[in-house]
Amino acid sequence: MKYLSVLAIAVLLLGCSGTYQRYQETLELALAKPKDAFVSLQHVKASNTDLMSVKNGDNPKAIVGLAFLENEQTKWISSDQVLFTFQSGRLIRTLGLPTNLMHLSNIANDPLQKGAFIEPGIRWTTKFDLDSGLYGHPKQTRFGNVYSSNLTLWDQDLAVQCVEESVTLSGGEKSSEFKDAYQNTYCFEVQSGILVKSIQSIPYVNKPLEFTYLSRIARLLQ
Amino acid sequence: MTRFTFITFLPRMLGLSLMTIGYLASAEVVVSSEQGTQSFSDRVSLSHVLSQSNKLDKVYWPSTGLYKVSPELEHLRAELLKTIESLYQDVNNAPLASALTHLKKDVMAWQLAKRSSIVVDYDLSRLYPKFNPNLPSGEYLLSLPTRGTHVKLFGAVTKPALLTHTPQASVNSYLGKAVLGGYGELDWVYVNNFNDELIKAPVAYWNHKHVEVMPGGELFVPFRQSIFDSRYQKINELVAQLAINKVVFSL
Repeated sequence: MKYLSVLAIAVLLLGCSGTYQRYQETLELALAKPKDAFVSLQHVKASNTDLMSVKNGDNPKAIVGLAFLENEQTKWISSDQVLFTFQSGRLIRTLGLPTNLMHLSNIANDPLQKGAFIEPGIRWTTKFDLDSGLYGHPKQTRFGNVYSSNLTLWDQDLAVQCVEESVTLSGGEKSSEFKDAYQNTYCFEVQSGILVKSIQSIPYVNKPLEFTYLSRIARLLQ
Repeated sequence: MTRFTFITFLPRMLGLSLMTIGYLASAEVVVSSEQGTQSFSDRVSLSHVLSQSNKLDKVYWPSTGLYKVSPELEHLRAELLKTIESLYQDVNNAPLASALTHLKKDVMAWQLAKRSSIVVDYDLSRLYPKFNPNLPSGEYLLSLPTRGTHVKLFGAVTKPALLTHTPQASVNSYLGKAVLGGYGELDWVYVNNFNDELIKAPVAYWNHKHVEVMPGGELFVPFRQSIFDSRYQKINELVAQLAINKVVFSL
């Protein structure tokens, strides 16, 4: 199954020139592109692989595709060799960004495993490594505010319940130049409890990453 | 002190060669890792080699490495040991003699092979051809360690130490009082994170910069250079040259 996704991406990327060109335009992180990448609902439904949009800070949105689903992890790639790995919806590893998350500890006890049923007030402690030369830096999180909202996509509304996660980084010499406290947000579709959107930051990187699960949303809108 | 010559390491070199010959008789690519030795009859891709491991989900990818067996490194090791021995015979300082003895033992125990510039990452190798080269024929050592928990301190120190890795800690915090007074370099140390290059970390009060060592990494405290004796500098250079090619299967 895991290779089917890769095959699908490979076929899409290497297929007919028209399709290839379209994916060249959409499957990029597009750090410098002036416009958000857009894919239609029909396009997402027709795609053989799951698609997700990624917004990196103030940069335009880009589209990434699901490459692997293995060991309880999903791995998404862009055409410019950026890779995002998630477990239980949490970003646990990146490759190809200016600063990358190399390691996250204590994943087995991540409250996010409960998904939409996460209890407000629950806390989690982890340690992270960044390829900027930081190793084992502690991070404390606390799940707090839960609120209802609507996610609008392709002119349709999806009712979601979002939970905020307050993140605190514990000191270190980096804290003076970078934010040492920020919020992540996870939004679950109300009926199914499926994660459809999240906003997460790599510690000490001041640009939040916004992930919108296009294929999941397309299936929920059917 | 035992005299170290090229002959001392001939059996080690012969051992490698015989193993290579034995495998290469039926295979072009031979890869040894913590899980044993495997041979491949054709030019094999990196992703295929990696797929043979049964602990990929536990690998700490920043510390992985592919090394090619190279007899040349044994010549460098012999040269280093010869220099250490030469210096040892001329010193009248017990702590310095002790440090040299410890360094000699360390260097003798190292498993050396030429580190390849190939990035070893299973995800990248499966996704992008440029990260999935076919390995040329030869004998390789593949390091797929889990994330380490300690930091090793060695070189111009009173005694080598295996210290618990401390989150957020700068290199200085590991040095403490371990540096050999009068003989250890006080301005900078080498950090070996088992990737492509050693980091020269400034540690003096006037040049201090926050540099962290990777869990499982090593700190080599160089010997202070002397205008009267070039052997200190030679030892530093050879240790640095060999350390990058040191194969560690478990951090």
